[in-house]
Amino acid sequence: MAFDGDKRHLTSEQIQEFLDQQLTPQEEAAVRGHLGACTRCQSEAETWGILFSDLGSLPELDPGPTFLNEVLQQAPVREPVGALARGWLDARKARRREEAHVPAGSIQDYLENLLPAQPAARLEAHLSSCGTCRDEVQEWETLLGSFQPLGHFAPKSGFAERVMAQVLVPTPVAVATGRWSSLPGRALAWARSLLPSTRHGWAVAGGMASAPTITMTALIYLVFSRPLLTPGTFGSYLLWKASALVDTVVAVVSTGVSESEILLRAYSFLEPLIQSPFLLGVGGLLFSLISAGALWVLYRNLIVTSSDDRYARARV
Amino acid sequence: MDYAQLEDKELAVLAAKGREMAFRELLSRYERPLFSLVYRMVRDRTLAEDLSQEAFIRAFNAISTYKPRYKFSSWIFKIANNHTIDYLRKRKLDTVSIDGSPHARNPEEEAQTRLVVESHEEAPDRYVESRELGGQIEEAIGRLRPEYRSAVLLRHVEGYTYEEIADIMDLPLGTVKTYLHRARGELKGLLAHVES
Repeated sequence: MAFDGDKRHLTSEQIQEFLDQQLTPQEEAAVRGHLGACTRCQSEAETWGILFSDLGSLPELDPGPTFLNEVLQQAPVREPVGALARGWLDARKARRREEAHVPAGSIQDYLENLLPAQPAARLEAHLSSCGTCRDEVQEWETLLGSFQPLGHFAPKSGFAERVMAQVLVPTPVAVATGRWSSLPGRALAWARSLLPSTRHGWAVAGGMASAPTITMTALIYLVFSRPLLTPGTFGSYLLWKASALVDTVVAVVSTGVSESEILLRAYSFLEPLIQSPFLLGVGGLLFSLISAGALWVLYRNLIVTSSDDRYARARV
Repeated sequence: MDYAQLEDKELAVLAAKGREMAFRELLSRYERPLFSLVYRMVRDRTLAEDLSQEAFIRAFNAISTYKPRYKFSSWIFKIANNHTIDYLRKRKLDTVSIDGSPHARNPEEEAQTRLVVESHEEAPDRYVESRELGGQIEEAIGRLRPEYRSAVLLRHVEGYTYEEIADIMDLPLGTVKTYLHRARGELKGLLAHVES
């Protein structure tokens, strides 16, 4: 029984074992010590004590004067009562002797250190007097020992590569290194967290994304199902409306640009640079390099899809 | 970053963030234990490689679903064990013993059902299997039913606690205890039969 002094209250099991005199001398002393200091456990022990004494003083009930004769009359074998009782006692003794051996499950638990202290101590006490159980324990020990040499096997070489070839490594998120450089990483992580992670999520997102197309298709169907409207007249009408919109947007933007002070300042700053052929060349070269890099990333991420290079998609 | 110094959970988190080296480190830590479990379950090297490979691929492609509050090893063993048990159930693959059928009634029947290894060149895998799994204890484990086999291997080869086995096998603790008691009882009987 695990008992750790006066750090906590006694369990009802501990109190019962104490009253039943099932504890070892050390455990008993510890329980006594605790009871001396803890009023709550003291009152608990008193309650249990009353129950124990009540149980101990239960009177024997008399079955009645005819009980014995009635039982004996119904006994199948007409043997003398003494012989009958002796036979019954012998059978019971034999059964008890058989039951007294430790069951296999308990032996296994004992060898695996899974038995609580009390049953383990009882089992050890039994082993010291029972040769059959000692032999049994030895057999189980041999069995458990035979698992020891079982080690690990190695798969054929190239196993890791074969696995990795079919693992789709997620696109790495930028690692934050400083206060400002962490912002793109965080933004990317936030954007990624908005992406659906389940099939249902993707289905909903797909539905939402295709809603405008479905609505437009429904509208077009509605419009062209009218007899006086033809695709030609409707097209002309849309073209006229679109060109009017484009005219308005261009007018607004060009006015804004031509009157922009920032743009004028930027032009006056860049003017000497543009006039220098060397700087112009360097700028052009830089632009070309960045464009080529961007195209390479697009190519690696969108066009290359072979299974061998599948996890290279994550590389930028 | 030294990936070898990191804990499984940290590696799993890094792997979910797309660090390929984290996947590789996890693979190097678990390829042998996982393969050994599956190999002892199916007792066929090629099949075991396929099944353990599939288990790794399943686990790694679902690494984002791993919750670091659980033990990573239990998580990955659970995937491999379920995958193997499912396979065995589907195929109804029973124990294949190179010593002949365990249901043989006499030595002649046992000899008739014995696997014959023609030569090392003709059946190299079978030869390796017979060398690796031909020991008495391996043979006896191979004769247990898959659930018992799994419980015994997780307990005595991988050293998992009863609670961890219950978690891996998705079983109540009491059932795991019963499985282990019965499995060991069967092994004791089988080994006693071999010795006699």
